[in-house]
Amino acid sequence: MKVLVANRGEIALRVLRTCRELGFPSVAVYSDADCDSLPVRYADESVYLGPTAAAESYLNISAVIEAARKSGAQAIHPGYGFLSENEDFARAVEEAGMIFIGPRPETIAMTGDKLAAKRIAREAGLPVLPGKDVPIDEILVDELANEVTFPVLIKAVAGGGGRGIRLASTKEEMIQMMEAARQEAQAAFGNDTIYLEPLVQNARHIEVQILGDGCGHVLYLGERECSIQRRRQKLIEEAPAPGLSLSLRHHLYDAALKLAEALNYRSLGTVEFLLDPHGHFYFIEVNPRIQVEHPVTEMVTGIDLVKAQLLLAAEGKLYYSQDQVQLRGWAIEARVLAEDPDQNFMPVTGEISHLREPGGPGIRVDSAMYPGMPITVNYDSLIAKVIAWDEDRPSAIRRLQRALGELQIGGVPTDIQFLLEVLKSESFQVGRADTTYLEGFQMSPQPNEDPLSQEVAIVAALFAHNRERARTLTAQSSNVNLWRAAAWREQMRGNG
Amino acid sequence: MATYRVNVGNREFVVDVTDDQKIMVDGKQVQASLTPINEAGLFLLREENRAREMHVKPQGNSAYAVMVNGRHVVAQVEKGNGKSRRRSEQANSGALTAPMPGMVVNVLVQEGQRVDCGDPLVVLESMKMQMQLRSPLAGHVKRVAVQSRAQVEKGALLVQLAGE
Repeated sequence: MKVLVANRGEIALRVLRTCRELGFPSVAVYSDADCDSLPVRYADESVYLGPTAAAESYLNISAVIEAARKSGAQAIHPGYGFLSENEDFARAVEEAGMIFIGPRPETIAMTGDKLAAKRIAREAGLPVLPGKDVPIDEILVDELANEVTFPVLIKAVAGGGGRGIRLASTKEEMIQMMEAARQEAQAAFGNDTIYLEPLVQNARHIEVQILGDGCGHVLYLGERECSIQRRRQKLIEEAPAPGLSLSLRHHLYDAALKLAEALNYRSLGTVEFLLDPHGHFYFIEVNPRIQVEHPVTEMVTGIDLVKAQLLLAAEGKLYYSQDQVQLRGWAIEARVLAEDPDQNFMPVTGEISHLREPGGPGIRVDSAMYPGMPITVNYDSLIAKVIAWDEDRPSAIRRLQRALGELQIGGVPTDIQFLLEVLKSESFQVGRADTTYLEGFQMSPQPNEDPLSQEVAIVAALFAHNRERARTLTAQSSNVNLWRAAAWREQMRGNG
Repeated sequence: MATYRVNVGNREFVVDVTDDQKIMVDGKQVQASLTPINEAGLFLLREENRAREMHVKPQGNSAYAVMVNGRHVVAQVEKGNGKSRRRSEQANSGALTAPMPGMVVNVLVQEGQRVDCGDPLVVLESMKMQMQLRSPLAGHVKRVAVQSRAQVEKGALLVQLAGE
């Protein structure tokens, strides 16, 4: 089965790797910005999609279908983001006579409408948050406002992934926010329908991985904890979730399975829940695609989820039964982002000038980074995922700390130091952090007596010194660059 | 010999590099050398009993982004023939003043005590950061103007020194 991967970055490379293992010929697609990317170099073939702007390349349905046709691909893997949750795309792929590696278009449509998904979940017997499953508008606002308890979340029906959510503490504030929320939803998701959801205080985010064959067989592959979030974006994820009783875990699995059965689910999906401090959980949404954090599930189950997807697409059957899914050990993933902790985690641009990835036992790095890779504002700031597996949670934390310390990324600031501090913090270590944990989290300031500061000072001074020496030494030279390099090296080695 | 004033975070270091590449930090000699590892900016800082990899990227003429142990630190380097303005002023007058408002955590010297240039005199805490303030000169302590736990304003006299 020839597979076109309709994505970029680490997830494109991730899928291409499994294609190669299975002996499936692969096709990468790329925009102008990604013409030298690792997926392009790795795939058997690559097809140009269009300009750098995602709307003209990775989000351009007809360009992707055309690329698949041109290359003779029989199936399309959408990765996450971009077109992965777009029912029109899934339908277009099938209408073009190809296999969409993911759920059926109807499932994507149902899960994409967050209110419809809630209704189905309630009908299937899942616990859902109280409140009417209806959109809010000017007519209903008074009625709904009197029913809810504040603070309340304003969410987009077509939203998801934590985007476009607003928190209103009073009815007045809610009415004030509605218009902006509507406009934002229209701009971001092409649908301005919004709804209300009660805020669960100190909730943890727990999700269950499901896999179905679309013919009535569904299984679960354990849960993941994704409570470490900043601006509603996950930063650290782990499997299993710490501190859940066996019975709670099985209730979560049962709930996810019920929904998967109700949807007659095909391919990979994630059922997301909020867990309150009293042990009550509530369904929030289904993500009908592979998740960024899927590697932690792969590490504890030993199952290659992409392989399961690809084989299902190629042969129409699942290679696993529920009792073959055994969880072993603990896995934690940290997302390495090109963001500047000193500038309020603003995404940065630049170039990866130096890179060394960690290794050793139990470490996996999912990335499409290479030295010389430009970091632009066009796509998201995720540049690597570092995943550690070990026998138990404390060991996995230590291993991840070790690996993040080994990861060297030169040229752009990253959140590595921040991740290390979160991993070190007590609340994380005891597994008590909820989704609000990072709101109050302060990075410790650089200690003044840190011996590192002095070392940095020495390095900077020596660098400046040698730079200047090289400059003076070569002032009269005709071949300045060559001389400069030679003199520089000479000076640097000086007292080595 | 060349002297550089290097600011890292809110610490200032005075780094002297002699013609035969000997290095002094705040007047004390340190064993250190810098070896380039590749063309991409990776260096090995060798010290007495360890070697540490650092990635250095110049930012303009006087700033250097140094990546070490997952930390991204920016160092400002100024070439200075002699001591920094702040230091030289302080050295001239012998007055150690608070560089920022904060709380005195500890006074490490007593009146009459002999001090060397670079000796820590006072620990100040500001915005939850502690910093050691060091002697700008060699001499003795004429007067200690603050006590532990005292709140001080920026520029407040902490210790009055007398040079040799």
